[in-house]
Amino acid sequence: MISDPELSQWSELWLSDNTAQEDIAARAHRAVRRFRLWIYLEVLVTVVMGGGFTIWAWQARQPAVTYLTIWVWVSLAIAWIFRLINDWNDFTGAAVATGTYLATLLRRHRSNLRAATFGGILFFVQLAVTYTWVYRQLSRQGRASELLPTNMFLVFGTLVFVAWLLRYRSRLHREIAELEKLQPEFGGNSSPAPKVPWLKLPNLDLVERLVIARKKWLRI
Amino acid sequence: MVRDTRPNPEQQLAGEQQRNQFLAAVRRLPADYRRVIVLVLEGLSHDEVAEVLGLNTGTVAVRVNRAKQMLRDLLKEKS
Repeated sequence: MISDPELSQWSELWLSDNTAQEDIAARAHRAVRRFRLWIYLEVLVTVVMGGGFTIWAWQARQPAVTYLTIWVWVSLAIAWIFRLINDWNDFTGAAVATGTYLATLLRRHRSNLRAATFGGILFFVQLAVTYTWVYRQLSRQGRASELLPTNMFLVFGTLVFVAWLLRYRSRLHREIAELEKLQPEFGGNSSPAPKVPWLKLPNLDLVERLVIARKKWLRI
Repeated sequence: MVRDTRPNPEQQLAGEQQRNQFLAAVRRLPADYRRVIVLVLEGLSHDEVAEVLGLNTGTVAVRVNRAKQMLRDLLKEKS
């Protein structure tokens, strides 16, 4: 709410410029929704995978299952540690406070790019270790042939994942190039390191409005 | 009978011209001032603008005032 009447009138003029605005707003909404969804998804995967394997190990009481459960927890821990280190700056309030929001957006995109690479590597390591474990267990029981349908599923799943990863990375590269082109206009090539060293979720509403403002900036 | 309250074509055209003039004036502001005013026009409070741009609230207020003055001058110049 703008209390200054003159600014309020100008703001109405500014906001009434809605050429391609709907698409921009929709994109911004989607970006924020996706961001929220990822966080929920990561927590869900941790709870389901970690919890599921723990329950299985508890019921099976076999060393092999216990080792697999430990491996699953180690992988989850690695993923979360990477997530926190990689996104540390993006999740602190100071990331918004200390730099221009353009620099913040750029940093988020670069973090996402690193996360995509890391996610791909972790996926293949997980797949290799878990698959080897399952194969060895079934071979011991003479049931290795049961893996055939799983193989088909795995190949298909892997192809879908790789295709998605490549598409996601190329989209991020495009966005980064677009933001880098804007940087001289905005001034400041980087934002200082965050001052607040604790974890804090970004103000999503603010981020959303900034995304819209940035897009509009592109057009004026 | 229901009265049509929507602007007529002439009013629409005038509104569009006014908006284009305003956008052109915003475009001509120096980057530091433009950055601040664009965020204010988007509806961000001075505190939020300060947070986003890493400035203190006082600086934001000063820049908003100067940007307003420049915009007034530019719009007067245009008209």
